[in-house]
Amino acid sequence: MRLTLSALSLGGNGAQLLRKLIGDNRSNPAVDALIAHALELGARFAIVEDPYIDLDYSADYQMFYAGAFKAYPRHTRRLHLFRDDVTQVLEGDFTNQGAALEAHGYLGFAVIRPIALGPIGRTVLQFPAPDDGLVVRRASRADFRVHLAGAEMTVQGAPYIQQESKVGACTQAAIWMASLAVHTRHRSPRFTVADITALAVTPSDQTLSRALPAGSDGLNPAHMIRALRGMGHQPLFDYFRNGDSGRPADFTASRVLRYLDSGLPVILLMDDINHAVTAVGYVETPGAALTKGQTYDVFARALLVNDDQRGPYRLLPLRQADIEHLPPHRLMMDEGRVLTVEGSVSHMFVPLPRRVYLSAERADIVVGDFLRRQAAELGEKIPDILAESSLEAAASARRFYAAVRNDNLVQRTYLTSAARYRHHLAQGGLGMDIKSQLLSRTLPHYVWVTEVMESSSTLAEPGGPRTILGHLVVNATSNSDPDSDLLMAHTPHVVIHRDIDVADHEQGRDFTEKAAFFDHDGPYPGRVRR
Amino acid sequence: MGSLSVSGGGDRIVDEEPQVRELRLGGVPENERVVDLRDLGFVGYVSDDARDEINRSEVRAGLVLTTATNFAFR
Repeated sequence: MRLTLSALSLGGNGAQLLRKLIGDNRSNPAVDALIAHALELGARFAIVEDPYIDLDYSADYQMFYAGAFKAYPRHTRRLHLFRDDVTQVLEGDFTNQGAALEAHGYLGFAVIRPIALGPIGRTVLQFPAPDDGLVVRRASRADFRVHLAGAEMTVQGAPYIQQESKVGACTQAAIWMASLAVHTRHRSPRFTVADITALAVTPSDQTLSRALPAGSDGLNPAHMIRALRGMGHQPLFDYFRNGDSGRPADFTASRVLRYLDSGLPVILLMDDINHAVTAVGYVETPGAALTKGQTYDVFARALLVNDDQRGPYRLLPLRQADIEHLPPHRLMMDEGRVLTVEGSVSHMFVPLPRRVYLSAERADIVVGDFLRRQAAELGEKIPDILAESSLEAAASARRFYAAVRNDNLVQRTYLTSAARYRHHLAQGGLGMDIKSQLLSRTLPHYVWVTEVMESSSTLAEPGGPRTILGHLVVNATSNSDPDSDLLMAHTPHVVIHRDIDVADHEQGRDFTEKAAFFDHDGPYPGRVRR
Repeated sequence: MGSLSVSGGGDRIVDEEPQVRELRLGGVPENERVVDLRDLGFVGYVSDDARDEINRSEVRAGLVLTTATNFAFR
């Protein structure tokens, strides 16, 4: 079998050419959205690799198509998108071809399946560029290595796939989109849609068996948890409807954002349209908080969502008020109305690493409680100690405790490894003496970090971090007594270290808690995942 | 520095009393302004309100399973 590479110039009729190539000119919202995104990225040239043996389609083929009476093609094609013409590179010297192709603006690829109703297979395209002054936070991203003939290229993006209705529904596609990003980034096991369906439908039940093949007509939350667990994840889940009323909860966005800020994809269910999608990032304003609140969603306008039916990188506004500030062509629509997080998102599933046993919500509650108690009980004593050597430090600490008491601070909580936390701490803007104090403490493998900032905090640079006043570290690998959760806290001019391994039961102590004081301290940049 | 170097055979030299010194991270001296928070009357136990909030959060998350038979997401 001979591999052919065909070149395609995407001039004035680029969209038409791509629609014919991918969707055989059939109307398909996901195909149209993919093409629009590619052209917005600046795609002016394409290479079609034919045939392409795709792991995911091969698994679909084995699971269903190989047994069908109709003869379905076994192989796919793969479309590579570039900013510039790469003909000369591909017809030139083979050495260093990968670097030369990347220099021509490699934007990503899409596998084209020989399935008319769901032609888009495994796809990775770059994230959208910042739009209308908004900042795109690429949460569920990974670097994908791509081989075209002898050339190796890399593209960073969030994986996308259309559902293939004979093998799985939107739920399996959403789980696949989440799990492939985690696999590529963290070297966890790789699962095809067919694998995910097999895990979800074993053992089978009456719901699954309503469809033939079993599981092809959608999954319910219990099946999804079963699949995620079978894939080796710690499936964290949450529900966002208020009791019997079924009304939307007002904290949905804050809960989703904590996991996105941890670099994890979040699978979202929308019970009003019976649909599942994968959140892969979010969009925030570079300015101050947009609404009142104490969680980081006060700065955000929308989630960035991969929707197997509507296409890659769609925008799901957090609130109705955010809609007019977002590019209309990327909004998630259903029967003429714009879907929003506050109106539609009912469930959330997160493929947590196996060793994480503490939820972000609990970390956030513990941190908020600690800060409020500190402000209430030590809000005068600590500034008095600081005043012995620096009136300025005392005043700064007093301002901080007043902000805590007045609910003027915003908490941003994310998961990280102790190694990455220390790395960013070492590179960051804190003073050497405070860094030394924080770096010299032992930590578990995973920690929740909560950055504390004022609601007026803005981005220090375009796409950069916000300025923070302090941060707290919580043990993510324990789920026993909440008293053992908090490990360290840096608030202005003070570092508190809690040692949970020195219990002195005779003294009635479960832990020791010591504060170190510093005359020189000030706001510093938070962490940003680039 | 007080250690004695002796021949270890061949060209190797070994320290009979190797010097061990704990390093100060960043070259920063130990902070001596440290206070036990209990001496200030503070013990950082999680408050009852926060414990209730944690419980409520976990109970609500558990409602996912009660919805399990209600929907098929497709």
